[in-house]
Amino acid sequence: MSLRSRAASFFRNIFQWQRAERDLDDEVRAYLDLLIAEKRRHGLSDEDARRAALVEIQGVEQVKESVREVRAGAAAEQLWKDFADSIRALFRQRAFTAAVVTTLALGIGANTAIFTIVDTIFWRPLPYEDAARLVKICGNALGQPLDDISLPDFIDIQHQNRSFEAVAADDGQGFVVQHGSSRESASGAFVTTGWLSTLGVTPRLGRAFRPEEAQPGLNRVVILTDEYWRRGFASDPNVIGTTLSIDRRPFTVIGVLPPNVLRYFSDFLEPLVPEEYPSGRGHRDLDVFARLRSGVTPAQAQTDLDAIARRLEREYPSTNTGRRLSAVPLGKYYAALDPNARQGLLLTFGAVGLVLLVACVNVTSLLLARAIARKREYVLRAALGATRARLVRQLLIETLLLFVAGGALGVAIATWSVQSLRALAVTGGYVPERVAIAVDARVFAFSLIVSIVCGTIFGIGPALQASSVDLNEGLRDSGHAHSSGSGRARARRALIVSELVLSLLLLAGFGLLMRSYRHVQANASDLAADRILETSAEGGRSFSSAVAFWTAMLAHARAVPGVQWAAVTSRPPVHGARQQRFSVSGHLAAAAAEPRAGDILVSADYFRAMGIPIVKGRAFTEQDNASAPPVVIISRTVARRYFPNEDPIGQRLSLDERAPMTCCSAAGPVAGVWREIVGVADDVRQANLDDAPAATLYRPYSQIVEHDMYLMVRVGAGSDVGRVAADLQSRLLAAAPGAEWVDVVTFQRVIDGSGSIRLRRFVLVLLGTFAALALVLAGVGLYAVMAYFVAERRREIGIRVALGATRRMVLGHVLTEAMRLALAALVLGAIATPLLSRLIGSMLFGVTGTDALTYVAVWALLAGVALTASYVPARRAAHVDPILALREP
Amino acid sequence: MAASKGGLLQGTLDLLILRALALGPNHGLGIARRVAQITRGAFDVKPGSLFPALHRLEEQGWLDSEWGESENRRKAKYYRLTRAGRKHLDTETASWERVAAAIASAIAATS
Repeated sequence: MSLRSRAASFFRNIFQWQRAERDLDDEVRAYLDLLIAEKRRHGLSDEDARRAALVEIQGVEQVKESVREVRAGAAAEQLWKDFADSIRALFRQRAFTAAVVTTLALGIGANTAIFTIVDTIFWRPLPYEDAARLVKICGNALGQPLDDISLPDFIDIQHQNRSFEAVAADDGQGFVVQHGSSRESASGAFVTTGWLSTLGVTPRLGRAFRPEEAQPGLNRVVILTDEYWRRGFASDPNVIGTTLSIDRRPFTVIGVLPPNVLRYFSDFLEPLVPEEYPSGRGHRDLDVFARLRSGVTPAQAQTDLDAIARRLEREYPSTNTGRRLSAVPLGKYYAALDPNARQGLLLTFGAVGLVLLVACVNVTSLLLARAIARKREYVLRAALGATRARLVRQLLIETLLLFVAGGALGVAIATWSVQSLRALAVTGGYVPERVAIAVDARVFAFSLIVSIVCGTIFGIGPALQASSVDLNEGLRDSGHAHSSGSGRARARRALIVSELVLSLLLLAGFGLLMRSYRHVQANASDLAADRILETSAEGGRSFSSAVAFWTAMLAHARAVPGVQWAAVTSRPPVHGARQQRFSVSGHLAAAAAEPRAGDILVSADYFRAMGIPIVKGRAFTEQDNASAPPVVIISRTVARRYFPNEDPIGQRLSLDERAPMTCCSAAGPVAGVWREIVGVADDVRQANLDDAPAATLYRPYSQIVEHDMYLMVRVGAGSDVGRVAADLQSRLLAAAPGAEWVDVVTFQRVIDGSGSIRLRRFVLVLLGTFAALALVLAGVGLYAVMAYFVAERRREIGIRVALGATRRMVLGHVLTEAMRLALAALVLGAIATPLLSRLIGSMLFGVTGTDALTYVAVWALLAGVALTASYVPARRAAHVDPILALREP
Repeated sequence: MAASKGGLLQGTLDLLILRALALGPNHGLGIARRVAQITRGAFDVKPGSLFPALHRLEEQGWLDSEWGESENRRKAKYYRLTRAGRKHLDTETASWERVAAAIASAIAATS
């Protein structure tokens, strides 16, 4: 208390407020004295002169107030006074203040947290100097998606272009890093030595690479990313000059990057040494960036690149035929990397915006209720000469204080929750693993702006309402104004209905996405994924060593108790598939359609292990080996699409490849090999669970094998999956310790981690949270409105009871009122649903935006909440004692 | 707003106060009485409009104030015209006369 009064006198002294006030008081009092003296001279008695003077002056306080209004510095002084008054008022009404600040903190906090993520991923300027001049140069074969660039092509671009100030390239790779006693795997990137200067990045510690460090022997220097420096080196400021071992070669740390420079990969950079890097034009692994010369547009650069691509095509037809080069502005390139993630994040941001709207509406409703309770105070102030503008201003200041306090608490909530949110977003695939996210000045500014804008928008209405006081009416009816109160009650009912509508939309959105999620999950249900185990390893670089390795591993796996089937595959379902062109023998006319299909290499028992039915013909057997005729199994989609009216079994097709791809080895030459179709397998979703199954071809791994293969095991009924997984892992590790086995996991976990599931789960978790939050806020808001409804009608209810209404009838009366509000929300919500289904339409799967089941469930939930929220006020109404209620003033 | 309470336009009240003070320094009540005198009782300036106007004119530098003693030896705040106030009064008087003449001729023409 004393601290507060000391603070107040401090402010007064600053503005010499007290002295000016005393002066004004003296002046008006002197005027009064003179007036009294004048009246006395006219023959009035002391008493009468005084009364006459007071009547003539029309109120000392009003005169003083009208002077204060015009005094210079009055604005600032009154602002301070209003500010202090507001703080005092808010302290007095602690329950109200706590309710409002908590509501706002939840709304603003959730928004701030989501903003922190969305902003870091999409809106923050790239941490590069003059980023507008940066482009990513991609290559692609005609009609194919963008891919990367080979070293010789990169060098040619570097030398032949006329558009770029600098061109740089990098290639990421996994390494084993050892420093001190810790040994861990980390991702590094080889970068050309001009990489940092091309992007315009200066290390926060140490220096960039020098050109000579691209020479063999001089390249043992490394620059750490900020994130790795914090995580792996405990932010050691003396890290420069220390040595660490990367893949058992010593490197010296020469620099540390600023945060978030490498958005999508890598813990450290080391110089790319051209002499040691694969030099084939077909080895396309470099990410290439370039800085446009000033004044050169991306379109001009594109023309330049087109010319270079044509030259390369002429000079190196075997590798560069049909290959194009394209320049994409870097910001656009990053933004387009994952359109699904973008949509999901923005949807979440929209949803959290609705929560804030609900919170603000709730606060408006509370402010209106308080305006009624404080009516006498405003009337009194108006009577003492406060103008309406002054009242509105003070009320707005109070509201803004509440919003800013809510915002401050919201920032605290965001700071506290943003790291778990980040973890969720990383698992969901929305945030790259190595992007740091933190609440900083930018986020703080966002939350402050949101607080002030919302405070003004949602505070002005109640302020105008509260300040429109009629002196006579206000003083007479002692604050229980029914005539003007009912207008406000209508406004509050409208507000509560809009809250309910917003909650309904959030709930419906959540319900629809939840149903979609279930449908997506159901697409994997026929795989019995919880009884299938998955692991993978590098089997061998040559055909014979790889086949021998996997034959041995399959034998080991089958020997594990509980294993029913074991098989290998180049890609299990949901892992995607390499696309290959193929031709069908005797179908030359159909070649215009250019048959394409996913290309999967599997062992004999693959279909049994995964539970994929063979719908026609046969599965592979152990006899389909290198010395047997080449065979292939096609998926149902391939059969339907390319053999519509004939039996595919016994027909032949040939994959369009000249040599085995770099990741594969084959028993013999692969070009022009015609394979006999021996079976048709049922469709599975090889890529996304929410895509239609794509065309797939299966070839026996004993005729062509990949270096990295997956081992899939089906656990027999009655065996414990966890125990089999542990046994399998230890058996495989013991059998081949050097094969870089990946931990054995259930296939269910793989599915849960697949893109279409985890992207959806992130949105679901957040949307569910937000919908629940909105529903709780709306429920609390409805409770407050109903409690007021009952308090306002105590006398009326008392009369009804006195006239013979039963408790049940009173209860029904109040609950009917609540149901009317809920019903209004349902109708308005139904009108707004087309908008909702447009917003989330592209994320729906297996349900329509007007799914009846979802809406019925959501409506039932909302009605339930409305009933629950109004039950307590209704009970209170039912227990009104008519005698007490009628006696009340 | 406050100054227009007596049906007086703000500019009119300012002009009357400055005119009243052109005759010599005076305190609040004295100014009110002198305004009534020079307008032959047409304007009765209430303290609710007088004080804000006085403070505003002082802010604008046209008036000065100091505490003094009234004719019957009571403490009172005395206002007097500053040099700028006097100049302002002259220009305001001139423009007021132009407006008054214009309005008078307008009324004469239409009636």
